[in-house]
Amino acid sequence: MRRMSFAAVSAVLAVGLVLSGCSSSDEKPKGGGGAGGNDSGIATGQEGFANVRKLTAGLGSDAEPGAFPRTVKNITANETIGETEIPAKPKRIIALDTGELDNLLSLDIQPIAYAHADSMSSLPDYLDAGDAVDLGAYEQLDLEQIKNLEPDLIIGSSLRIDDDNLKKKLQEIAPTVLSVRPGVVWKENFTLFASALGEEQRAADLLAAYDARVKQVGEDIAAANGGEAPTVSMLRFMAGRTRLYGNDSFIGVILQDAGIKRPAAEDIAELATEISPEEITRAEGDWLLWGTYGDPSTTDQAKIVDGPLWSEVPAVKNGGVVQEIPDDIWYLGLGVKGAMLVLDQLDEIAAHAK
Amino acid sequence: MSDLAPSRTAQDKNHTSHAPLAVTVSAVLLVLVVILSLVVGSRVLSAAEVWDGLRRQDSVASAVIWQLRFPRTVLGLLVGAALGAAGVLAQSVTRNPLADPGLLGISSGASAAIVIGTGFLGVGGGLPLMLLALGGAGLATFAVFAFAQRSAEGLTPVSMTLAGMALTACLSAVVSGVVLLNAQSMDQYRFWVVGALTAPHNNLLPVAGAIVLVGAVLAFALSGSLNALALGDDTASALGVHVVRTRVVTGVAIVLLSGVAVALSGPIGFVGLIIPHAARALVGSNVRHMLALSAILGPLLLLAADVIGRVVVRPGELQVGVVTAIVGTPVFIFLTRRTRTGTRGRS
Repeated sequence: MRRMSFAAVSAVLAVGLVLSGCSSSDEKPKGGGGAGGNDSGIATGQEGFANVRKLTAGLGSDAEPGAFPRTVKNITANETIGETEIPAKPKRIIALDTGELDNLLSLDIQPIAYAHADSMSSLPDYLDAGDAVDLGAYEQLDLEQIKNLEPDLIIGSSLRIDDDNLKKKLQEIAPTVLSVRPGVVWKENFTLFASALGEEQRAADLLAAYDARVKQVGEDIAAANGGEAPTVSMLRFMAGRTRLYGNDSFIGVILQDAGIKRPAAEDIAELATEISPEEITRAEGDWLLWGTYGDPSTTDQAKIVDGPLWSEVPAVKNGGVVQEIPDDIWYLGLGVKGAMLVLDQLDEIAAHAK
Repeated sequence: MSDLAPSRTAQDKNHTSHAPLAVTVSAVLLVLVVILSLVVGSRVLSAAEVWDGLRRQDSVASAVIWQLRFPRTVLGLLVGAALGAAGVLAQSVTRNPLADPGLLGISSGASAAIVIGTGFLGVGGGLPLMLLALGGAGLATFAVFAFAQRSAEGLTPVSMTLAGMALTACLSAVVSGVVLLNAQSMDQYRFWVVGALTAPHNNLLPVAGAIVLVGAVLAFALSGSLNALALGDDTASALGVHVVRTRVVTGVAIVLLSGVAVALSGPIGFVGLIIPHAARALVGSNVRHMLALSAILGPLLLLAADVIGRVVVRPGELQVGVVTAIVGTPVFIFLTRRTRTGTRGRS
């Protein structure tokens, strides 16, 4: 009897360990690149991810173009839409992530300061922040430093500022406008931030230019592939995980806009699907484009690209386009400026593929 | 815990007769786990694919089995055997049933070397990282022995344990400091520290195998002296055993065995702690028998944990260090429990 109960205790202990192991690994994505720091923060499984489009549709401002003061509907607490009052056209703006920085620079607005992912040691080359102050990691914002910079607008996303208390404190420092998350709704976010800046018309013009360009690049790619668009696999190596990107991602949206089809494993309404090195042949696209986030030696890049199964990947086997692309633009760009660069590079890849 | 300490009693003699049986059964189980390790993985292969892959008739399945899973299996055998044997040596030499190779500074030395190397010296993954870990493990163990040697009572189990604990505490602080300040080394470290059966390079395996073999030969050569040491330093000396030399050579063997294991797969320390206990529960505390059985039980636990880790969180993989601890704990508790009940029953 005693032994029985002891065995039961050990079994419970073991189950508890498994569960705690699971829950802590679940929490990591939720934290959106929290303490771990390696995560790009483009999390799968983020709470409210399913609601992203619905929530995002409710954001913005209905003020007359250029008119201030105005109120902007944005995320003021987790999954909650609130209103932020902006008294006058903002001049001293802080961007809390590279996507927002991209948006500001697209509108020719120089921010006074910006934050970025912890593991990003330098900004992507295409983002020239000029004299703006580097606030460091968005996971560890120094509120006093932000206050001392005397901003009149702070822009960011709820995913990055995932603590309601922090959201409140930022609002106390300056009017703060937060989107739901970066990535899949990058165009909507651009419109949202432009509405906070009173630059709605220019944002609309830039998005129209993007629309025209993406159609044309889509046609170029189809032409390069003999009239019909190839399917494209988007592979990404990150520390401890390897992903195939789905439709609900920055790059997924661009490819959809270009009319490019995705292979089955990636044609999903998700940010990405994770694969193991043994499953690399699930990247079934006619073309295979891959990037590496951070230090390649922390990822499975070498193990996979120099590995025994690489030659079995359809694009490699059939002589399709197989190319490394700059991770910071294709997966971290998250703004209209980054999107235009992706299109330029896609066009170039198509030109070489002819 | 005192009834777990190595001591040769009538019960042990009784155990000795179990040794061939225990070794045979474990070896058969190990063969089964090796086969599972080749057949089961994050990529699901059908029975036909496995059969074709094994005969190299299917290019994809063959690459998965022979080029991805086979080296990993060999690594598991090597690391498991090395850690199991090193654990027996560590527990015998310190006469401490709670000792594992980590107690002599091996894991913390390797960890500190890894974070300092990646954080400040810009060392990337692969071979340099492995050599760094091996160097750190060796240095730390050397330091532990040097400190213990200079202590008032000399190179005794207690002074070695204390020096090991002190150095481990100090090095852990260094590791925490570096990792908190430097995101880059954090990335490297947090995967390494959990432990995984992914060798930096497959052609390192023969080298590692050779080093482990030397360590294993040393271990078996030492087993007689270690058996004598279990009776106390004075008795051992009276029996003609050179006490200090035995301890130093045992230290060398431990560094060779677990240094290579830690460098290749990270500090999967738990194997070194529980496998000797499992072996003792099955065959008694004769060091030679324990070494033989631990060298089989170590890879058995490690490979079984690795196979489980490949399937529980598909398509991802749970690292072997995590699964080893989760799977190993109940087994460990059951085994030590069994030993104690047995002892009580007999007395």
